[in-house]
Amino acid sequence: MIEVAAIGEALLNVLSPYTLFFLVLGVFIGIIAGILPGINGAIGISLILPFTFGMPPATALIMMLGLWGGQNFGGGVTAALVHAPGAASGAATLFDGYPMAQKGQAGKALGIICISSAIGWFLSTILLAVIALPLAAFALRFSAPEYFAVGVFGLSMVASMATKNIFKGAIATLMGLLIVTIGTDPFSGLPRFTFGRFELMDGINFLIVMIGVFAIAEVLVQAQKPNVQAKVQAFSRELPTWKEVRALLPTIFRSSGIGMLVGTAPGAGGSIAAFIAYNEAKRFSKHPEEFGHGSQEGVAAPEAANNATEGGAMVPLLALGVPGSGAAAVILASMILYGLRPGPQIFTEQPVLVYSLFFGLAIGAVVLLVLGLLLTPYLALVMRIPKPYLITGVTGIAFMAAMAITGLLFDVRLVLFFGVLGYIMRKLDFPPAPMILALVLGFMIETSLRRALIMSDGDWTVFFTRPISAVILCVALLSFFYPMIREVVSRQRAKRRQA
Amino acid sequence: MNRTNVLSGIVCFAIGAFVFWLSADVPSFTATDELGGRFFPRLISVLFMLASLGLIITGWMNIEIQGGQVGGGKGKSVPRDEDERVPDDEPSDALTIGGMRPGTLRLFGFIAVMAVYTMILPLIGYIPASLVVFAALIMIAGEYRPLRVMLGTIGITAVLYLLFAVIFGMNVPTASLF
Repeated sequence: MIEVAAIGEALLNVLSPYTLFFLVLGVFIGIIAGILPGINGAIGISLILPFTFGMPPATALIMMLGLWGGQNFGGGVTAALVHAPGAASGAATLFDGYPMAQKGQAGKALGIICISSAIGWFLSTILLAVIALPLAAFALRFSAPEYFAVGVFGLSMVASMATKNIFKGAIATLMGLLIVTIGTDPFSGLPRFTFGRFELMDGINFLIVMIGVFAIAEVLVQAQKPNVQAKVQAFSRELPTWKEVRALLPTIFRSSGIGMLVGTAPGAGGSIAAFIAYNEAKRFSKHPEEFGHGSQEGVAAPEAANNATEGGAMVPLLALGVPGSGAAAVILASMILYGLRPGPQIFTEQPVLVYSLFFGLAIGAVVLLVLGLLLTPYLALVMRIPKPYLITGVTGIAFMAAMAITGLLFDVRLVLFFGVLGYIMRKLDFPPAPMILALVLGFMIETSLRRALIMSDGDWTVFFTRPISAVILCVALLSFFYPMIREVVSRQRAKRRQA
Repeated sequence: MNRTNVLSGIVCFAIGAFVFWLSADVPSFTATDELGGRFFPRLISVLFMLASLGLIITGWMNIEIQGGQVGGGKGKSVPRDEDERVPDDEPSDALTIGGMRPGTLRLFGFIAVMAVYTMILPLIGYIPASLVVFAALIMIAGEYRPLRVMLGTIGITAVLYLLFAVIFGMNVPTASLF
């Protein structure tokens, strides 16, 4: 399956000045986006996506992957300097990053964040290349029932894992699937829920929903908060020494492994990987008492892990067409927009593109290392942008992005509608990410389900008589119902103890 | 009882029921597909109502079944994207206008101004609409110094226009009024 000519072409493609420029730009925008509170990878990628339409798909996707990696690093920078994560993935970094900055070691903390992030990112790319190819080869055996099972598995994992209430996760997911049904029925070509509006005939573009529920909702959340400027710690230019970095390498490698594995599971994002890696680093450390008081291992572990989730999340995305997180969902959406078919067939149909993504990711890690260390002294300045200008700017970019997608004012209004919906969802603790994933996977789920049922003359057992789809669906059901079973068991145990 | 969960469950159930009812207009059978376009929305709306019922029942019993957060541990939630330390609104004793707290006013102000933006864009064109709307947003967000508001508005509008309309060659709405 490995094609040497395609590998060579991909390498030349990634090393071309044009692609390298957009990779560096992507990493740079990602770092800035990560530093700014509330702007996560999904928002950043959604906002730049409409402006990449003129680019070759590989370049655009590499730019987005660069943005994603840069954003993971930027989130840690804010965590260390203002004791608030710029993105959720940086939340675990503040436990020790901020105490380091308070001790006057902000430069060292940022240096460790940068080096750990770059190594985590690089190692996860190797895992991606090693796992994705055989997984895709295996997945080539899939037909409609298996694709339906994979889609349901992706949704069930996301709906049940990173949510405070699994029913809310399920409702958000199903809401996304309902939105997918708006437009033209893919089988009969007849309109569904279009209310006579021609703008709805093609359905609701998932980018419009993404910009609304991520960017506009975040603007509304920030607008509601008082205009308080964050207090940024004084900056020292001192970077970590080689001896210090060498001592951190075991922690970085272990945490990268954790990040890679967690990243491959749909729904388990950078923040979860970061917390696990932080706990493990503390468990393995010779100085666990330093954790929480400015431990260098405590900074390196979550940063290596959260960046390593990127390569991990790309495994199911590329091999199965199932995104593992909000940012991965936007990447998947972008691939569909570029006319690509993410899934196992992409390895045979577009080998150059796939290898370009592998090389782009690997080189992106090096770019992050160089750019991060060079920019370190200036990154604190970004945090001084006053909030009124920041949220107004994001609003402007969001509406501009909406206009760029279809050019219809109707869609600009939809962005506002979904922004308000996203705000309400966040206030009521309904997670927006499952809704977005459902929007992206909805078409595949509906068409696979209907195709499988047509194939089997309406026999639903088709999903359980085929071994691969049966196993995947059982895992999906188990992952969704496990929290409920756990809750019932723990309540019964508590009752028994009381008795 | 968790009133928020019960009420949001009821609203979601109503939405599910509405979609189920609405899907009656979609053909249930076509020559190429026995299931028809109605099948999938109906299936999802039923599941939607079941999930809503689950939320209502657990909300009524005041149970919050958390997701199986890997490593998060029981009772620990995944941190939210936003900065948790900044309060959602000014303190409750802060000045209120018409019974609404300042944060709520800013929120409604933002939504109203954005709605106006989507309406005036085709009427007066991108640049004039943006100048008016961005100035209003900056002021609502808490910057009142006229010179800074003016410079901020012009700066944001100019950067966005230059970047997207001039460099990327994107078509921005032009005025239809004049």
